[in-house]
Amino acid sequence: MSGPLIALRNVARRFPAAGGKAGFTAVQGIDLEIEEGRFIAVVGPSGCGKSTILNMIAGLDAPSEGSIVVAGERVAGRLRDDVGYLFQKDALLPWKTVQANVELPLVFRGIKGDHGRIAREWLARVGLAGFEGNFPHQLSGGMRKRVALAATFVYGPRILLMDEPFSALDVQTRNMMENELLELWQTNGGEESSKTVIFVTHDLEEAIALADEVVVLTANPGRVKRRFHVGLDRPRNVNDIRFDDRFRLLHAEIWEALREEVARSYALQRTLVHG
Amino acid sequence: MVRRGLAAASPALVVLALLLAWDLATRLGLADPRYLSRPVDVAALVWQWTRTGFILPHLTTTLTEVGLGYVSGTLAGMAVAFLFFFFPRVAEWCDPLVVLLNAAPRAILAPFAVLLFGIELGSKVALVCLVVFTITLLSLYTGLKEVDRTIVDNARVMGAGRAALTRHVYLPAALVWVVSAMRISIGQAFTAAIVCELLGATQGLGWIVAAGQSAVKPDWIMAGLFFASVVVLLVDFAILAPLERRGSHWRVF
Repeated sequence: MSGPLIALRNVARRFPAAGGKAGFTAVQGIDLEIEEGRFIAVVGPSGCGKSTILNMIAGLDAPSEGSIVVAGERVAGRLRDDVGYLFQKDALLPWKTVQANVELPLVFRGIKGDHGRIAREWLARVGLAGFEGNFPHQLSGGMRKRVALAATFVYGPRILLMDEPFSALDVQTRNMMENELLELWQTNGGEESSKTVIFVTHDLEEAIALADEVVVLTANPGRVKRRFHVGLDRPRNVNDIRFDDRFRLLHAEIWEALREEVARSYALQRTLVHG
Repeated sequence: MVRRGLAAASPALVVLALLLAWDLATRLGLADPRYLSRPVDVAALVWQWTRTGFILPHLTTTLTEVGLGYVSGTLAGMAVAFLFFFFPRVAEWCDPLVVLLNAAPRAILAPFAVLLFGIELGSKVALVCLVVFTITLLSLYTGLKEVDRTIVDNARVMGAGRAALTRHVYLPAALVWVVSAMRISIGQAFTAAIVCELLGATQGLGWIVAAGQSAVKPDWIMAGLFFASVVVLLVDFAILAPLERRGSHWRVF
């Protein structure tokens, strides 16, 4: 296929005023093209519409203006079936076992084959062999994230949207999960082309350690400020890469761009709070 | 140690003190035992009814009424709550009706139920059903609107359509509210059945209470109330409370 896999053109999302709440423009004038197989990290100050962008690409939400084209098809608030989405909050079904949670997308999609075996294989890949019969509340936060990862990879989505998926975890668990994500992404469960990942985070170190490219958004309303190429070698280990000189230079450079926006966002929130 | 034992026994002591006060009041002439009866007499009657099996058909009658009304009311409440949830327009149209139904003291509809459905099983089941229906509908409809957005979005991204969402997400989530609505409504369900029996019945705990009143046998009224309370407590303690505990990890709101 020629051209980018995902293309956002002049995308805006406005939430109209309703029920006494003032209208709100989450993002505006977003232009972004993403090639297939790339790992993109999106950083920006809180409230800059990062999650809104992911929701629109997934088809959970529709742009108020502009167009989003994925794999040559226009997305307009209709869910795509080649997208996986890992949310910040836990989204496992508490009344289903780990195994049933991972089988669920196969059931929803009517995918043929031995669901039990496929789910077990993915659970083993994320290091949860032996926990098939447990319920989510019996697992730690990191283990629940692993189940969510397995439930996303299990149906082989071409695009992976991740919305601060590890932000609620403690630092050690988080680094472990980051490494595991990179490994899953690179080996890709034996599939041929690797997934296109859009990883939203507010943590710049996490963004650089994981991604091929870091997109910096402006403070609200969010638009693309700059894109930075991350030329660090793969495979990477997120624990070691932080001490790499190139990492530190890149970090300083991107932080320069991000800092202004964080300051603006902070000032904006203060004026909102204090009138 | 002594203090802890005392703390554990305190609720029982309060009940004991009240019973003693009741007994003393009748003995000291503060209250007329002909109209208030005595704890000992009530206890004797409860024992006698249990031993002879006199209470059994009455218990069975009231339990059948409550059971049928309870199940049908819960199911109907669930059905309408889902209807409202999936068709918000219908919910808008019916809103005044639901508000009225909730605000009205529903037990007062008992005479109406007896007129419409007669003094047999029908009127009691209908009233219990209405009471339970209202509580279930309100609790579940509010609950469904509060199901965690992330869980729903996640299921949708994974490919769930409306039918799959209902079956795998909304129905299991609903059970939490249904059980808590059942806990709230069990007492009211018995009240509805007994009030209806008071107005006209040939059998049941309400019939016992009514008979006690017309024959001026206060111990009958007290013993009838005793059996009703014990049954409500037993149902809650043995069935509903454990159910709610089991579902405590199911909360998704």
